[in-house]
Amino acid sequence: MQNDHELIQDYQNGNLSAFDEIVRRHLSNTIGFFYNITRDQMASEDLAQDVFYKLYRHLKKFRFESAFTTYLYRTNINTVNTWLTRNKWKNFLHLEDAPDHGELDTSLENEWTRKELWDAIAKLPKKQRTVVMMRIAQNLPYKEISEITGMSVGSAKVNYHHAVSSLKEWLSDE
Amino acid sequence: MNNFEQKILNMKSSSHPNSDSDQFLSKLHGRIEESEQNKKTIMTSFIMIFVIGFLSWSQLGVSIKENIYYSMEIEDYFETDFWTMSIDSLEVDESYTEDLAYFLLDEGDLWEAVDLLNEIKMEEEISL
Repeated sequence: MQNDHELIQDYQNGNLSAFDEIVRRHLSNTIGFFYNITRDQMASEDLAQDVFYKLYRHLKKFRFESAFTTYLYRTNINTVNTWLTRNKWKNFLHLEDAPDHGELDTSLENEWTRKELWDAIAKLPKKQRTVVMMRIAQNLPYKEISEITGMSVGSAKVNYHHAVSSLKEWLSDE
Repeated sequence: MNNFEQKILNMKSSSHPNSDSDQFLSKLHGRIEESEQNKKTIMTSFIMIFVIGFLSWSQLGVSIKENIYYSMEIEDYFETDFWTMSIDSLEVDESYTEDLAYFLLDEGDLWEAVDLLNEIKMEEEISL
């Protein structure tokens, strides 16, 4: 079984089925990441389409300096950041209802909904938001987060700590 | 890890709906194809705009020549109108009359040929 780098090499040599294999291999994980954030299957698939479309275009220039998953997570984060920003504006302008990922979770004792949490996360500064999303939606260790974002492990921890403090403050007020 | 942080981490869904990878790939390839088509259309449009723009621009510096395709002269070129007619349309050169005379002789019209020659001679005398 070929590893990711070998498949990318094949794709760069013109083998399009190698790209399909990459998609099949990482599709479930990618959709899962977006589903944790959006709680909407359609939106998750659309975002995953965006991610793999970007990969289709940019993998031809992949330089094999990092693991493919690092590259994929970075693309996921950029895509979801764009999605959150777009949703924030839509909510602000009341153009349409935001996707309803706000069903009450009984395990949270109805304190706040997922929607409230993700609305609060969308308000965080970009670095903090990125770290929180990777911790919550992907459950990535700080070391991997630091590789993906380019910040140090310490910086990732500090950003996460600040983000959690802000979220706690905002959600407790509501 | 405090209680709040644990709650946030617990929000991670343990499962998510499965997606049909073949259907997903089919949609993805459709999107890629559509994008390639759009790219070609945009490229063609840009090339056409560039070519038309270049041709228009290349004509901007050219001085305007007055190419007049109609006559500003009132006089007719061949002086064939009634008022300006100065010569008779029958006034033709010598070789033409000779040819005509030879033709009449060949046809056996001897007197016609003589009349023609006399007429031409008369006209020459009048014009003098």
